[in-house]
Amino acid sequence: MAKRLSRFYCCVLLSLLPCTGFADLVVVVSADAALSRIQRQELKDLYLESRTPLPGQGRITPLDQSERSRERSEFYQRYIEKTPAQLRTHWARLIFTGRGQPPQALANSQAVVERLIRDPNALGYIDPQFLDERLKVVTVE
Amino acid sequence: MNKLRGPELWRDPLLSMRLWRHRLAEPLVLFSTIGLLMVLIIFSSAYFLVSREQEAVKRQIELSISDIADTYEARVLRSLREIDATLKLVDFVASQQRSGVIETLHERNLLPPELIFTVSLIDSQGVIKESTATQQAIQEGAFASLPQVPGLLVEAFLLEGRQQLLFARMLSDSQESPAWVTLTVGADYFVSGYDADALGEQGLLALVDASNMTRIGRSGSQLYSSIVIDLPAHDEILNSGDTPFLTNWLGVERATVVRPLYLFPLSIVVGISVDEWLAGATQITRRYWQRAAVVSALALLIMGLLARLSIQLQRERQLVTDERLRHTQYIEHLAFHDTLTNLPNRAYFSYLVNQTIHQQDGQEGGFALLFLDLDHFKQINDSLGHDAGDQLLQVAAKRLVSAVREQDVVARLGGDEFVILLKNVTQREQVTRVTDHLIAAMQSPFALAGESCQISVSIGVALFPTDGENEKSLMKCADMAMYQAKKAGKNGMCFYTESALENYK
Repeated sequence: MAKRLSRFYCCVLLSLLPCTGFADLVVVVSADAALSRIQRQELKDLYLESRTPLPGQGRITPLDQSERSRERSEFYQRYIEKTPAQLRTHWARLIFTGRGQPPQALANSQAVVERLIRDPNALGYIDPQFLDERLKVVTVE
Repeated sequence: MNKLRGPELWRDPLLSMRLWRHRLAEPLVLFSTIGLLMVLIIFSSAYFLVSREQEAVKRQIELSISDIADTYEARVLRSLREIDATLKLVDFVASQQRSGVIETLHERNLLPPELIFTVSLIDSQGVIKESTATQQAIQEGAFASLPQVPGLLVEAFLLEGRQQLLFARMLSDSQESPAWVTLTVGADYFVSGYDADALGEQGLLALVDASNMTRIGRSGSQLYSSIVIDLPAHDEILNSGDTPFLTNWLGVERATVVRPLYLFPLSIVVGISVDEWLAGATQITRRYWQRAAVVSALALLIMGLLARLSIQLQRERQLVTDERLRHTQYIEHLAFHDTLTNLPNRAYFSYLVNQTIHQQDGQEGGFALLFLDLDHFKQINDSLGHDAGDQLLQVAAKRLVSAVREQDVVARLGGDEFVILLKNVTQREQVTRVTDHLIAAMQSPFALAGESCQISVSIGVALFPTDGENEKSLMKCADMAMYQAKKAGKNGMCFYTESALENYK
C-alpha cells in the first residue's frame, strides 16, 4: 500500500514538474473588480500598451514591479515573451516618439497588493504568498 | 534596232531643277527622313519626361527631409526638456531634504521610467549617493571628471559596449562640497524614432555636438557614436535653412539637413541616401527609355512597311511607264522605218536630207544623193514568188548598208527602189568609189528558195549643191540619172547631167 502511494505521489510530482518554474506567480486584481479571466494576447497588449481597452471591461491600468524583481523577469518571460533588451527598445521608441509610457513600476509584490486594494481598475502580478481575500486571481487563457 | 531612230525628242531644261524635289519624294529618302524625325521627337520627349521626373524626386527629397527634420527636432527638444526638468526637480527636492530624495520622487511617480532612464545623486568624489538603479550600472570614473560649472552638462561614455548619454546639473544647495544630479540614458534612445519607411535603409539620424562629433547616429539598424561627421561650418548650417546639402559619410551620399537645437549644445542631423531615393526614379526613368525604344521601333517598322509598299508601287508604275515608252518608241520606229528591211523610210530619209541641207547652209562642201533600182527585180519576184522577192530585198538592204561608210544613210523608198545619202562628198571620184562598192556588192549571187540567182543595180547620182539645192530637186535629178543608167545598159551608175534631163523627157 505504501509502495503504491509513493508511486502516486511520484506521478503527481512528475506531472507538476513542467510548471514548477512559473508556479509562484499569479495575475491578480482587486476582489471588487469585474475582471476574472483575460486572454494572453490581451495581457500582452495591456503591458506593451497597444492602447486597446479590453472589450466590456473599460480601461485597466497595468502595474509593473521593479526591474530587478524576480516577479517581473518571470512575468515578462512567461506572458509577454520579450527579452529586457527588446522591451527597452520597444519603450525607448514609444517614449521618444511620445506615443506611450511604460506601466508604473512598484517596488515589490507588497506594494502592488496595496495599490490593487485601493484601485479596482488596476491589474498586477504578485508572488502567490501575498494573496489574500481582498484580491482575485485572474485566469490567463 | 537601227540606231537612227527618228527625230530627237525635246529635252526639258527644267528637268535637272526638278530632280531635287523628285529625289526628296523618293520613298527611301522620304520615309527614312520621317522615321528619323519621329525617333528624334520620341527620344527628346522621353528625355524631357526623365529630367522632369528627376526634378520631382529632388523636390520630394527636400520636402520629405525637412518634414522628418521638423518632427525629429521637436521630439529631441521635448526629450531634452523633460530630462532637464527632471534634473531641476531633483535639485529642488534635494534642497528641501537631506536624504531619500530619489525615493520620495519615485514614490510619487515623478521620475521618468526607470526602464530607460537612471537618475542618480553624486557627491564630489564621484560616489553615487542615491540612484534609481541599485546595481553598479554606472561607471564611477565618469563622474569624477564632471566640471564644476553651472548649467546643463552633456557627456557621453560607453557602458557594456553601449553608448550612454549623461546629463548632469550641479546641485544648487550643496553646502560643503559640490554634488551633482545626473540622468543617464542609452544614447540609442535619441535615435529610436528612426523610421525606415521614411528614411530608408541608408538614411541618417544623428545627434552631434558643437565639434560635429556624433553623440549617437543611426543608419538603418546600425548605430554609430564618437565619429566626426564632415559638415559645413556652423554659420553655413544656420544660413542654409531647410535646403539640404550633400554629405558623404561612411561611403554613402546623402541629402542632409542640420539643425542646431535651441538652448542645447547639440544639433540634429537628418540625412536621406540619394541613391536610395533615386532608385525609385531610376526604375521610372528606365521605363521611359524602354517605352521610347519600343515606340521608336514600332514607328520605324511602320515607316519601313510604308516605304516598302511605296517602293513596290513606284516600281510597278515604272514598269508601266517603261512599257508605254517602249511602245511609243516602237510606234515611232514604225513611222520612220520600212518594216521589211528595217531601213529608214521615205519620210525619215527626206527629214535627214533636209537636216543635212540645213547643216550645210553657208558652208563649203556638199553631199551626194544616190537613187538605186534593182535590175530585173520584177522577173525574180514573178518567177520565184513574193517571199523570195522580200528575202532578196532584205539581203540586198544588208549588202547596201555594209557597202557604204558609217556616216552614210541607206533608205528604202518602196518596191525595189533605194536611196542613199553620202555625206561630206565634193569630188565625183569619192562617189564612184562608193558606187563601185555598191555594184560589186550586188554582183555576188543570192541564194533564194534553194536557187542561186544573179542581180544587178542601176544607180543615179545627184550632187548637192551643183545639181539641186533642195530635197525635191535632188531626188528628181537622181531619179533621172538612174533612168540614164538603166538606158545605158543597167548594172552601172550615172551622174546627173543636163542631157539626162533631155533623155528623161
